Amino acid sequence: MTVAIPSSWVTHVGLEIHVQLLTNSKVFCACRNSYGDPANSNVCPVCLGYPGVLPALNQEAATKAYLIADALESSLSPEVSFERKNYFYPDLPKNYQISQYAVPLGSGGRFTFECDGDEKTLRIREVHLEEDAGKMIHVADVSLLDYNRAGTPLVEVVTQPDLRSGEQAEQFLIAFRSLVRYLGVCDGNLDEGSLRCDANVSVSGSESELGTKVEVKNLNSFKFVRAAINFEASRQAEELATGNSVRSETRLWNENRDVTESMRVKETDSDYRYFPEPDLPPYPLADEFFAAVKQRSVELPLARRRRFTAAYSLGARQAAFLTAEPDTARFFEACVERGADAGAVARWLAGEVQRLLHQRHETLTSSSLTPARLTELLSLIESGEINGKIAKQVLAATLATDRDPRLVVEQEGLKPVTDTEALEAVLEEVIAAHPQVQAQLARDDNKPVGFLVGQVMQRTQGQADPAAIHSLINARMARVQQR
Amino acid sequence: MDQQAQQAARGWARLSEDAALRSRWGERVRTLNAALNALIQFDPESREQQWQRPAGDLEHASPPSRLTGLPFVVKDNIAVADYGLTCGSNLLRHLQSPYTATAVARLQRAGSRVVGKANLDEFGMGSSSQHSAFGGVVNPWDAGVVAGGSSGGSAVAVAAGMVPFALGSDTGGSVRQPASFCGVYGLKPTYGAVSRFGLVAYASSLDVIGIVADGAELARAVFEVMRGVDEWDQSSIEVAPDDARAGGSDATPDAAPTVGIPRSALSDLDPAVAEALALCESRLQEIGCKTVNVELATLEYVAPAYYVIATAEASANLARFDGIRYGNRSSQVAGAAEELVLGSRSAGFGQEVKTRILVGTYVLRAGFQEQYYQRAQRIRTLVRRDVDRALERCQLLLLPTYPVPPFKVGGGGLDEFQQKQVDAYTCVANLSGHPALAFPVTISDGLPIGMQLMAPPFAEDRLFSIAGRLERKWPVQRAPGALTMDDLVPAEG
Amino acid sequence: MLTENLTTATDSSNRSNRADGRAVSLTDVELTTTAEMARLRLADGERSSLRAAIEQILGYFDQMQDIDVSEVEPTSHPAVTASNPRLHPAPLRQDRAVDSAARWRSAETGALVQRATETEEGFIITPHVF
Repeated sequence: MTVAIPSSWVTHVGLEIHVQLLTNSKVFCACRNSYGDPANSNVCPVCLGYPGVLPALNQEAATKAYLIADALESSLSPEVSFERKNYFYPDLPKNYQISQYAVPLGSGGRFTFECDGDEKTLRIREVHLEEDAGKMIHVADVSLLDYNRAGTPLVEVVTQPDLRSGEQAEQFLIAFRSLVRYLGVCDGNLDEGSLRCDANVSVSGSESELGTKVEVKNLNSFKFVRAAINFEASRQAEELATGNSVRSETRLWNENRDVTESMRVKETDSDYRYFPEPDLPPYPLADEFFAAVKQRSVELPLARRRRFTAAYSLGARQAAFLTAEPDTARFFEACVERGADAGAVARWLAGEVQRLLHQRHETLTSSSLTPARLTELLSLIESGEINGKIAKQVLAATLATDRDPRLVVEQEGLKPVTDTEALEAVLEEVIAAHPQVQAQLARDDNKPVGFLVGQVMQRTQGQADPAAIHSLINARMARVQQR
Repeated sequence: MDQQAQQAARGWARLSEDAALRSRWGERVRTLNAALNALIQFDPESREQQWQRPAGDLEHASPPSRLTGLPFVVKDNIAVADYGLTCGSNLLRHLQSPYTATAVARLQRAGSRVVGKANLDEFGMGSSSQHSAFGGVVNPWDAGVVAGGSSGGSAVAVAAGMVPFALGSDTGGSVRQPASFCGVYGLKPTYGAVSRFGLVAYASSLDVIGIVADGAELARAVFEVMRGVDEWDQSSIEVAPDDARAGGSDATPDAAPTVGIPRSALSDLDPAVAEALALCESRLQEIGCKTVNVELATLEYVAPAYYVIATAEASANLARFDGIRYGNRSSQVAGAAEELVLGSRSAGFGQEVKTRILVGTYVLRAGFQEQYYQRAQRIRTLVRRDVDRALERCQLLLLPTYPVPPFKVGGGGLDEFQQKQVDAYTCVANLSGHPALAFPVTISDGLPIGMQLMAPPFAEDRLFSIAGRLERKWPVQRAPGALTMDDLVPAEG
Repeated sequence: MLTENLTTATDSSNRSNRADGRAVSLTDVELTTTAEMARLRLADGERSSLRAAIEQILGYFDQMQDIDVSEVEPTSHPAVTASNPRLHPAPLRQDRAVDSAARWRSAETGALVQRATETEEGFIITPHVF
């Protein structure tokens, strides 16, 4: 249970985010970099730490790491160099981790994201590349080790303590996840562990002063990140309020009890004795390497959101929805390029399209809907060939049967009834069936117009064009007036 | 290649063709090994089929070469698939290597055959080859003195005539010192010239795979096959063809380079070694070389700096040996995994290894790293500058391999600490990365004394050329009881 | 002669081979901490001999303080390719995956994981890790 922090306290939160890169092979060996395979099926002497093996840096991992650093506006190191972080743990095959320390590949930087309805800029301290450890599962009195994950390329992004609450941290992570997906470097699955996060939390009396930092680990979802940070901040505030000091330590989030708990760490385990990795001399990156990084960098989510808002006159929420996933943004712009109205595309994508995709457990890219088809659908509506209600039916049919909307309309006979004579006949039928409506119309009372339109729609299975019905009613009323 | 060398090569190559010869040879090697304990593993019969394969049929065919059919042994800290990889340690006593070191694979592709694994000081740590879990190696010249280390097994295997060449590793002199103690040739290549993939790391920035051979030309042939960049070793270096030959004065066989001798740094030599140095100098002059004085003022700091760096890197390199993924697991395990790790390591490592791991851990600790590790790495920069500067005035440096002749086994010899103090002459080349070749010079009181030549980076060619010329003019004496192919080949006229 | 100048291990009054005999002494706590960091359990019998050996070596290292290193950078990697245009570092590895099962589970080389002493359903087992 969290207690709201008195407004006299300021919470300072910095995050350490681990990003598992999408590459074919691991960072220092040629084993497959893949999730979910049988235990120890993607291992070799190198990633198992056999005697005599050496690490061989994966160029694509380096490129993707620099891509992240570049997107975060960090200063990029012209040479990539590594250090050994020495500690013993069964999931660490060499009992040291090849990481970066003195010279990370990216230093400084910043990231602007949507926060509490406004934009917030967070300072980045560093970006570095390292290898992941294996996985351990504890069962009864044994621990099971699976080294498939050992040697996976990890990029660690360390922020400055610029976040002020669990909510801000959560919003940052959502935006950061969007960023790595945009860059195509990570799939951002917190539950699979491809994106992991630790928080450093402190509380103090002012913005400019930091308190004693506590590291919080075991945050496996955005929700837990928010809850854990808020709990920890209020815990620290309580301590300080009662005159105690906060102990600098590592705490684990207990998701069952909703609290952070102290984790005993041996003093000897925290001296990592970093020294330069002798097996990987500093590698001078060629101009071609940096050119490739620049070429692969993409318009980032926030920039795209701003552009969409300006260029297409979209509302903030629409722009946010369209730019959350790169696939959605691409789809949207493809439609607009084909001549569709931006506003209409945005409304349909956020509305009916999303609803149907969700129902069908599909994504935009995996579904039968293409920019061409959505554009076609919208032009059918615009030209009056179908109305909005029919359009929804057509969309569902397109998704279900992989047909173009025009074809659906033709084959299902969904063309609207535009035959004025037929419509008039139906209108007269309705009026005749409702004498009080007849009377109202005679008095030039247009209260029953909506009712009449609805009735005609019903009797034409929704295929009548409401506008046409309106015109007929108006014309009839005019004629009646003239009498 | 000269006639003697050609004859020797033909003799060894006949092993592939002649099963009866092979059998006699195998018997003799076993007999020798029973006395000398140079080999931890020797079983050419179980791999009989490798002799039937035509040369170079492993993976990529190679044309017949100087190395075709030659048997060799590999120090047991270098990986050869399906052979053991004990590293002379209890901890890895039963480990079978699943892969082959790049350097070994290149030799196999050229037609040479691995026939055994050589004994060594545990994990390459030592200068005597007495620190092995498989017993000490015996020097064929005199059982009362050490064979040198840590590649003692490799050196003895060649000195005793079991094989014409062997692979070892040289971190602080571990190929050159035993080669000189056993009267044979020992090459430490330039750091980065030969792939280290498959060499069990002791000190990664100092280690190289080296060659022990019974002649300079054979060492050259082996080096030429082994060398070259390897994508699996990112510290290996690609040399553009121009630099593969040192060029200049080596272009002609009669070229006579200037040789520098750091006399003022060599103040503590045993008289026998000082005599050998003088003898070597006069021989060089006789073949037309000019000798000059050079300075190596940093030599007195070489050994302490070397041991700081070596033990520090070793403490990290040996951390992987915890019994979890391979190797001997401590059986007295009750309770936590921590116990398994502590137990496996404490039971598996010998005293010398433990000492070095502890020293190495200490010098990296927060608060100590600056005065030990950082300082040693700065001294290293000064040492390299010193060597480079000396080599501006000459083409080669000449210095002893070791300041004393092979020392006695056990008490009466040098103790562990003293052995470290005198490693300076060999450690120089490891700190600076330069290539160096140890070669036999003389016998004194029945014990071999060798010298070493150092050259600029990637100028190994120069070393072989001069050593070869000295060898042809002053043939090297073989160890007593050494096997030769002539012994085994029935007189055919 | 060199051998006369060498310090012997038994010469406990001369812990380093420096003329002023500066000695280094390792406290019990430091030895224990270092051993813990290295995951080595020291038996009672070996503690004192290990401590003596380590102290002697550390004392020997003190010699390094005599030389002026203020003007130089540390060398972490001896192979210097930048200064020589004919030398090139090994190229970075291309991102191609090799199927581990095919490569390491052949009958000849044996399954890598099976070399571990205890396995079950592909996992390597240790006693519980805390």
